[in-house]
Amino acid sequence: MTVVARSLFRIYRPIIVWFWCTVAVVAAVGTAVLAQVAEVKLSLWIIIAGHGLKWWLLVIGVMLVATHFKLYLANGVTRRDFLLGAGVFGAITAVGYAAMVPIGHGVEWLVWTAFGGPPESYPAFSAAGAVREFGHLLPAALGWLVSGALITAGFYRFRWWAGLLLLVPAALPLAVTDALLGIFGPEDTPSARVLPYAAGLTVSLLLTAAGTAAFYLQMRDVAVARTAG
Amino acid sequence: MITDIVLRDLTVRYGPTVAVDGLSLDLAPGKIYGLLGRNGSGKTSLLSVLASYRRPSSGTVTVGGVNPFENRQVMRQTCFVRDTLDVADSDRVGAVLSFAADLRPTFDREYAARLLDTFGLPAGQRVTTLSRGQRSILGAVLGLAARASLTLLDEVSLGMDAAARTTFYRELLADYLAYPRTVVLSTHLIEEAAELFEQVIIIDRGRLVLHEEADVLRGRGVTVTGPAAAVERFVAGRTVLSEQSLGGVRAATLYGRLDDADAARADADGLTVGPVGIQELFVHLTGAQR
Amino acid sequence: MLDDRSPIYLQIANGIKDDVLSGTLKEDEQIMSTNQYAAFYQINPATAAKGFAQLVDEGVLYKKRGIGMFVSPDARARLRRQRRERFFADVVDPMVAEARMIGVDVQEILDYLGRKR
Repeated sequence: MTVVARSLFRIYRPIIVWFWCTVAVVAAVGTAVLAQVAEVKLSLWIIIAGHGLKWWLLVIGVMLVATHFKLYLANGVTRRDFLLGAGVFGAITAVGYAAMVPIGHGVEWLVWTAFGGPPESYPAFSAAGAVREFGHLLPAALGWLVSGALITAGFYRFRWWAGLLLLVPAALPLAVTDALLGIFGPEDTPSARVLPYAAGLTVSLLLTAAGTAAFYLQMRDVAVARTAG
Repeated sequence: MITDIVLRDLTVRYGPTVAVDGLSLDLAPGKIYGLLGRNGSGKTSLLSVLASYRRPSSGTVTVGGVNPFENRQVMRQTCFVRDTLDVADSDRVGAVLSFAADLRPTFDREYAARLLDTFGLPAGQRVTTLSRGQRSILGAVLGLAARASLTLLDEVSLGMDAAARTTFYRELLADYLAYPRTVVLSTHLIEEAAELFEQVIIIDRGRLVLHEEADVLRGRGVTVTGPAAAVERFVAGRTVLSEQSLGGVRAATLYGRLDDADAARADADGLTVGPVGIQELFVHLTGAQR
Repeated sequence: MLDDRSPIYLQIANGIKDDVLSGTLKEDEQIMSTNQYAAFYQINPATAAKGFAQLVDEGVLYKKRGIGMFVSPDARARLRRQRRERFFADVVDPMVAEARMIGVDVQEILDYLGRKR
């Protein structure tokens, strides 16, 4: 891991812990309350964590450009080293977050089993299902992260109206990945899917890669903005 | 890394605005430079290029013979402290210093802690709650403790009170004596910082006005006061920076040293010759034409 | 002690000469290093070094390699000779000129000096 990536993890460690603790508490309390009034047909963990992680990574993408870029450059780090470190940090975070959803799902399923088994309609946990969840969430996490960074880079490098114009293409990795893959997997939303998983994954990853390249080109020689604070 | 800095025809443009205009400059290593210029004269743009914060629009800059832009070795050894201060506002002062120490191999965290004590800045205070003067102090601490071979300090002392400024000058000089390095200090408070400078660079509207040893500059300007006709005779053929008349008495500020013969002649003509400090000289060199 | 309106290295050189003349600095005594001098007077060390170099050129100081700067054995005598040569031109002549301008005649000055003896 690079110096920059290690330093970013040091900054984000408490925030990451806080995020997952909050999700766990909300999912546990929500499920407990829900079980009192109705049959639990869904995993609150998957829904909250799955949606939450996308927004969280979007914000990380924004922060990397709007806040951290300047701070690292001010401490003698080159743009290249920062972008590389931020990429490593973002990728590891995306993988970790995407993995946390099936892991938490498994834990939730174990807890249900301990309390006499989940309701019939609860999404059962299986190894294949876990891989499918991860396979949908990872490209989504990457897409949202890259879009967040790319949108902010447009505003950072160009004037506000150019940033606004670039916002539309910059949001493509996020929007297309969401449309093609969703977060619940093929069985949950079959009618909404226009492409089979493999094709959707390819398109999504290609768009994210293109977004990453565009981001790098915008940031590799950008002037360090003069902003107070 | 003790290296020469060479600027050639450096131009920085922001749209139609020209901030630095074809500037050429050679900076020998290991000296303290005073970078003087009025507001908007291009000081910050010049420093931004030296720090690789931005690319020049045209022209070249080399540090030790190489282009510093995105050069890992050079940028690691460069520290640029802007008056806007590039720190995380939500952090506490101590965390800001630790962050710098994590990223900069040359950063002396213990020295930074000592400086906080000296300046009386609490490490536990959040950046958002710092006063203008305290922000300036934090900038000075970051710039000094980085111990970078190229240290660029842009108006760091501006928000400090007189006591903090005195401490800053003393610490800067003491640490420079212990760890010689190239320091470029831009300031409007010329009079009180001038004795720290080995060389002075004056820029105006993006152009180099003067680059000279500070001590040569002291006494480079003279005022000649006396009867108008005698003053006029005396200043003929010399560089007159400014003139003032009161009744039949005229005072002229000249650029250039008077030799003994000049001084004798002035004396014989009944003229009074007085010295001009660096700050006065700066005002005359950059003020008149606007 | 130092002002910004004349070269500092000259002010430093003159200060050290005064110290030698007054006996504050003894012959063969080591003087402060450039860095000590710079820190004490809050000036750039290169400026202090230039003042010292001037004094070495004039023979007031001598260098011992790797040790430091010392007051030359004949510095005091030499400086006294120089200042005495310039005393009348630098001190007495301007005084006489001032006296003429305000109508004090030379005899009055002599009487005054006689009482000082």
